[in-house]
Amino acid sequence: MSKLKRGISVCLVILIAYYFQTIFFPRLLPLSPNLFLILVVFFGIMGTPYSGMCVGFAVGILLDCIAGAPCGAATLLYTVIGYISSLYHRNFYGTSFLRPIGLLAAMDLAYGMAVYFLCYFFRHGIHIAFYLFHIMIPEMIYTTFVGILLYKLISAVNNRTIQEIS
Amino acid sequence: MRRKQKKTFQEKKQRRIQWKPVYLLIVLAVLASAMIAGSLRHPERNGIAQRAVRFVVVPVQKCLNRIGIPFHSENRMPEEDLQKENAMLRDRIQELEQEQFRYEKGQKELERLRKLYQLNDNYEQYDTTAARVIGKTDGNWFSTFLIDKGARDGIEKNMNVVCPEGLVGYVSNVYDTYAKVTTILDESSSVSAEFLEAEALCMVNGSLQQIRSGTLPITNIDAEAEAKKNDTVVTSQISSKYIPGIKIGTAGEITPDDTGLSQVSTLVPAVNFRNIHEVLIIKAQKEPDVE
Repeated sequence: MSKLKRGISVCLVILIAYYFQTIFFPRLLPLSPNLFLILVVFFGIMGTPYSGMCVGFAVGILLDCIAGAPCGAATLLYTVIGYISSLYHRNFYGTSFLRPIGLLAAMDLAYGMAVYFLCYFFRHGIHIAFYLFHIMIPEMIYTTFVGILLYKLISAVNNRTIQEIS
Repeated sequence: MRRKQKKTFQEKKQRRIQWKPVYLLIVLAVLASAMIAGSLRHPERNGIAQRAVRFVVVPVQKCLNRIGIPFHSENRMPEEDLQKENAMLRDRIQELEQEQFRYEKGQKELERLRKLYQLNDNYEQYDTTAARVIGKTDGNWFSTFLIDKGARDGIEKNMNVVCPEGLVGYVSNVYDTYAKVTTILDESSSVSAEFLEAEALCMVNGSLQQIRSGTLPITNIDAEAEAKKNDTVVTSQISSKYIPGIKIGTAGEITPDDTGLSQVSTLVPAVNFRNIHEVLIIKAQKEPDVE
């Protein structure tokens, strides 16, 4: 029952993030931070070893079902990111702030690189510096900043629902 | 001896537990790969899961989007009258601009003694439908957005999307109640275009890099063509996707390219892409999508 509760609350958080990401951020900011990545990385590093993957899978399914072409690419990418984040779970004690934020920044950069190599490399290979300095790094800074702001909130959701399981 | 065996057994057990997340990863990754393979083979087919997710998510998005607009709007005018007047005036300006545009073109046509082909007057002659922009799902890497009309409203793939000011892009994916529009700024976009005055064919390419300075690259202008700065660039007759005669923007300085075989230029788009709330979709199609 409590597992169900955790699932539902995480799904709600994902939905809220989705609406912010697709409606409000593009209107207010020139470049949007990646809220999905924040959720996947934080749940991966804070939750059970499976949390990251499951959250990544859910986020990916949502994005792919709404408008993914090819459908499934986002699912694969976010699932792998969730898995990698959960690898750092063991060394994380809940009080350290730097590790999840550092991992978030690294993951955002990795995500940018993945999109670049999958979608852009074969067409615009030589322009990597442009994409690096104008999209990947600014997005990383935005994401890291929003991640710092949301850290307490997400860890509260996580801790509250995870206690009921164990 | 027995102790040792016991220990290795425990180690094995531990290792098995440690490996478990990887199994889940493999299962999920295989699932995702299967989805990719499936969607590559049947890009238009929609599964039950996809429909269910859309059924839950998209209506809320449409509502939220309406709430969001007043917060964003730069000129907050609570008085309805002012807003009405404003809307009316804007319509009037667009009307006049279109009229001017049409006039300009009409005169050109007369001057050329009605050559063999004629540019279409305006997209007003086509059946259009208005749609609201409801969100941007693809993050910072792609210039796409979702509109609140889909297959049920008669939207089809590859239909042209315009604003009163000019060309926005085309419908790249259609779903039941909404559709995805890829703009001409997207790196995957290239529009076959034409200088209105010089009648020179060219290509307008999407570029995330160049649009930061507010322009798009124009390439493949014939080396002999007498294209001039500030000429209006419209979609061409030979485009397979776009209806001819839709205004794209204004050309900048024209320079020969590196090889000297053709000329290149820049284009200032007519549409302000940062501020699109509503678009028109032209229901006529140049070539129906055959796959």
